[in-house]
Amino acid sequence: VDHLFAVLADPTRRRILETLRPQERSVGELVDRVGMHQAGVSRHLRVLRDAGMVKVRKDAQRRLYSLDPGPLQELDAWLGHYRGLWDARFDKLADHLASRRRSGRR
Amino acid sequence: MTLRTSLTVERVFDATPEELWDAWTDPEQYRKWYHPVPGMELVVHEFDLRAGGRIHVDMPLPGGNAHTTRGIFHAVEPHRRLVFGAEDGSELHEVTLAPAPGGTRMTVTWTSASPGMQAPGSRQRALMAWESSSGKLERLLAR
Repeated sequence: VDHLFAVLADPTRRRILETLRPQERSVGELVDRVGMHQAGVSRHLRVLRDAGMVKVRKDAQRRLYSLDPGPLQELDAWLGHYRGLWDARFDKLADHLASRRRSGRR
Repeated sequence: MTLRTSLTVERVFDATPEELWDAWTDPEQYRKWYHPVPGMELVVHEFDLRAGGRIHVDMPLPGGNAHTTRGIFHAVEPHRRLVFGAEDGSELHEVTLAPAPGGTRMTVTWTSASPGMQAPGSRQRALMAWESSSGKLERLLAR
């Protein structure tokens, strides 16, 4: 999970993932939409592929990139667990504060 | 460059900043609510509430083991801000309290440094933040 955070810390990589969400794209299309030169986009795509977040397939002369949702789902599950932990804690704290007020302690 | 992962949860409580501060800093109160499992409590070994003072608590787990937190208080600013965690700062919890409509907004931010992990570009932190009530990822941003 730490590694996924590192990958997602970069705003260009998040833009690439957003761009790939609805459909697969070629590098050229990503260059146009992300607003970065091709070498930069290719470098970020390599990081995203290494992290398993992006897949590539060959289509004639082009290489088409698409989103691989697995790692993001893993991250979402981890965040859901973390949020659930704090929701439970906050609920207990709210109960604790209410019972102190009822018993007249401040 | 060291990447710091940071996660924030927040909620507005029907309470004063003083009540929430006491809930965090009075070990008798803290041990009762901090364990996320209903009916379970922390075991407090050390709780020296001052900047540099030691904290050592165990969170018993349902299986019989315990999750140990051992470190120091890094910042103790009554009714406003509390920071505690590993002595070297590699893992920290920061609690901030601020008056808000309906009571007091409490924000808890957990940060974890991952040495050796390179964060390309100028961004140093990934911050995943969400509204604790909404049940979904609200925003994903770096700062």
